[in-house]
Amino acid sequence: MLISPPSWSDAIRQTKGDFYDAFRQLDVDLPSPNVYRTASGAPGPQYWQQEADYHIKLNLDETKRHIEASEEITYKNNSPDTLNYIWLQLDQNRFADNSLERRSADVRISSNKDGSDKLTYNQIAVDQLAKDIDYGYDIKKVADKNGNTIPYTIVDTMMRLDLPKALSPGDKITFSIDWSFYVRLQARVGGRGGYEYFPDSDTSIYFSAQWFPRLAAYTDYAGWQHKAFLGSGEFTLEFGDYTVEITVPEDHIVSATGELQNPKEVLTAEQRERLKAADNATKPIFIVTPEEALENEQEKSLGQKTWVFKADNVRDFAWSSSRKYIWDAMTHHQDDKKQPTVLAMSFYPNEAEPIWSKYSTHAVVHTLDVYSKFSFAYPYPTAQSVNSWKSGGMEYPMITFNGYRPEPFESNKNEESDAEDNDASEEKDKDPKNTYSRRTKYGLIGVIIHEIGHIYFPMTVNSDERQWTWMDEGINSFLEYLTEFEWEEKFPAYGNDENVLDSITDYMRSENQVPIMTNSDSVLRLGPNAYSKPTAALTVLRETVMGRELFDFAFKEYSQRWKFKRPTPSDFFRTMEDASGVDLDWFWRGWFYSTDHVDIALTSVREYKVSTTNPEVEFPYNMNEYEARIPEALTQIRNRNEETITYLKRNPELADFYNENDRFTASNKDKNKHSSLIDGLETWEYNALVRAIEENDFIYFADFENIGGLNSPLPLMITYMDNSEEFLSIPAEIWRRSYKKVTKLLIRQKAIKSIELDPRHETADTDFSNNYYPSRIEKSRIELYKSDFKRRDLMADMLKKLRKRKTGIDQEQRTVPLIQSN
Amino acid sequence: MLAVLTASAFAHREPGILTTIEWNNVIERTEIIHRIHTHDAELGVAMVDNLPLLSVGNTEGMARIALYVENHFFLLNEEGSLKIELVGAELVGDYIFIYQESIQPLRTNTFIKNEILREIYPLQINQVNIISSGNIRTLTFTEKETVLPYIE
Repeated sequence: MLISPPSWSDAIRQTKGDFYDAFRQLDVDLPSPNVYRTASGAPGPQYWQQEADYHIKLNLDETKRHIEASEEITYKNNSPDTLNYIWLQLDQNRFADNSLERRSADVRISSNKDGSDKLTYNQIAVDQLAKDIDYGYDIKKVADKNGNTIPYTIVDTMMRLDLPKALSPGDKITFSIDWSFYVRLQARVGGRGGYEYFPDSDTSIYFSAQWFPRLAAYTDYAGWQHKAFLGSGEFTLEFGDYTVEITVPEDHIVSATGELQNPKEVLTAEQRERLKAADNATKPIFIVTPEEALENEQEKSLGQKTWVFKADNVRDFAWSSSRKYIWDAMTHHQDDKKQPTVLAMSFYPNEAEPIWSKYSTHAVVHTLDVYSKFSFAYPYPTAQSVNSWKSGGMEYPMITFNGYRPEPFESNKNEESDAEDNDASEEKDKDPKNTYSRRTKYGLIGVIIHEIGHIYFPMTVNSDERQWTWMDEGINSFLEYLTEFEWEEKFPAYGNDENVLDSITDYMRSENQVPIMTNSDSVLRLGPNAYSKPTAALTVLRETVMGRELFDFAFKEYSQRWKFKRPTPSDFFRTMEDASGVDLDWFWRGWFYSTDHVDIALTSVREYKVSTTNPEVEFPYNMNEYEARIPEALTQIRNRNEETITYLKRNPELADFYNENDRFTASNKDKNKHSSLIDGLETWEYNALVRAIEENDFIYFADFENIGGLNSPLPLMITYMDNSEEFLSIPAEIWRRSYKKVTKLLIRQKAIKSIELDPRHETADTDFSNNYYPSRIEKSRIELYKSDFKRRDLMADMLKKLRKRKTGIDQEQRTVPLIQSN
Repeated sequence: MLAVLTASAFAHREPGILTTIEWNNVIERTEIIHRIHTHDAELGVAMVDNLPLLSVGNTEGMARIALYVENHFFLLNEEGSLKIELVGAELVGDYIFIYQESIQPLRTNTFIKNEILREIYPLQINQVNIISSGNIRTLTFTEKETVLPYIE
């Protein structure tokens, strides 16, 4: 298992003083390049990965909510190793009564506010379901191609097949498995597949993921990737070709990974015609209209149909089936010889309208546009968005399951609040039909972008989610962010009021975080660690450190090198440097290998002019300066005004050398010192000095301090006394010799009035209060909020009103009544 | 109907609430700011209230979320609950910020009880960053630990 050594266990340790080489090359810590993965970050000359092809037949029994299936798997061993056994994943087994996950689960909602035990209706329901139904796979047969049983051992969610004959490098083996399992009510018991039930109409939607025994990944860097599946760490799989025959009730519409092979057998003539028309559609058109779907779901047909799908070079297969589905499609065109068109489709029940027909397929097409621009043309014939559940999102090759359905707009029912809400901004939030909120709309578009985006990363650039969640979630969140910017301005991604670099800072300065380069299973708060922090890091890399041109070029190179292959983090880090020519080791170290945050302070700015060093010029200047700062004693001034005559004036013979030369008079010694200084200068130095005095530039020393530990470029906005502005970007390399404190020299023709560090909020600085010269006191967030009196008063009134209303309503979750019996 | 959303359903985003506590010397108040993702807030509070989904897009929705937070976040010492004033709430992009203030600076004999949205998202991790003189201390609230001592 690949574990990246934390920096404290470096072979190289600086034990004297506080020095830390933030710019040390990362190669020392990355795995050594080899014939599988090169030093430049590309697949090596002997790069290998396994291949697994599947031919699966399944039958969905709707009444029993049960699936019976059989598959034939052909596994090709492209590794240099001989395999005596192979491992398969049995993901559904996590739901079995005796699974590791179930046995190690503890009581979730354990106590009431007063500490007493509490049992929720959900817990009882889960328990009752488990009593009634045997979840997990029922493996009926595992046999070779002659029908002989292959010995197998099931270890929780993994199955080991002991091969009758060892599988040599280059060889392949074909075997088959028969199995069955019960489909789960996903909303009640969780999981990524199952069914959704609509009690009002007694209808269901089935969606299947992780539903077949499949090969675990065998890799060059980790061997078998077969840790028990506990539900949260996801999984990496092998590429292969799939043929899947799905037998369902004959009035169901099926959506699946791959292309439908037998439309004549499963679609009506009308549907086939519409599908053909979709080939030329530049906007979504219905294959099954909402009215047709509504009619279709009224009755349950008794017959069955078999839908046959074929998918090449995919790492997984998912499908969904329902008589409730509305189906729309349009064609996306791309500049690619292998895949010039992609059929973009959406499947959703009437409960998802009107928002799904309006946005889903468009969001799919938009995602393909933007992601392809950054990586490669979409490599599959179809991209689908399916509304299989109420909320959340999950991705599979060519098909994604996305939530978000409209909810009735509450404020419409409440006349009182309607009358009082005069705030203009709220008017914009009232959709005229009052059928969905702004959050639902943008949530839907966002989740579709994210899930379709996953088809690129990691379904195609097949990074190992078990080990490095950030390589797909982080990279995908970053591209999602860019795609949302390109959907419309002011898309509330991280918000038009906040950019990701502002919202990540609180996490980055927390104590309880771990570096991004931490094995996924050990990460406490996976969200910020794997999703938002990498998004922030890549944003800084693209917009500030590398610039768009270099970043986009290098990122595309990475995507294309590892398309249909399995990259590791080092391959990403190496490729980004290799293709751009920019030294990024300090960046990876800081952002990915440490928990440092960015907090750079502009601590001091000092202004100078070049000194002529000629005491006859400088000393009077110094005296004038001195006198300007320190006034003469009042007593002396008044004495002079009263024409008091001093003793010295009356006895001039008492004057000596010291009376002729105060410290501001240039003595001969001073003059000689100056001459020898000038004489000591080389001609070029003397000329430079003369010129500098002539040009009379302003010289500034600006001190920066790295408080947060994470080095950063220094974008500066300089404002001059004449109010003109200059934007200057100092690269992060300025920190290379001294990573904590650094001084920058600026020579300018004009006097500087103020300097602001990171005015555009592009470095993820956590504290802007120390970014100004001269320093400023900033108002806190709450102080700013309070200064908007109108808004604050509106809120205060509303709170008062709601408090009055709320008396008597128990806000506790409903609990099952219990009597203690011991 | 009450249903528990599993964290795994959100394959695209993390659930979690971030709270910061900082003493503001200028106005002499302890400032408490809760940041919740709008979707979690809307869905979660609606479930508890047993009312249809609310929207952060209007004042009432934000106020309901703010009141919910007020009833699920407490500062305790041996004398009981410290008085916290609910200042307000605002929407900033994808997040709703809830603002609270206390006239008392927090001391080390204080405990923080954080159960915000715990009942809806049991797996959620609520984080509290305590900021004092430039230092950050972090408290991590899970389903097992809903009360933790204040630290500096």
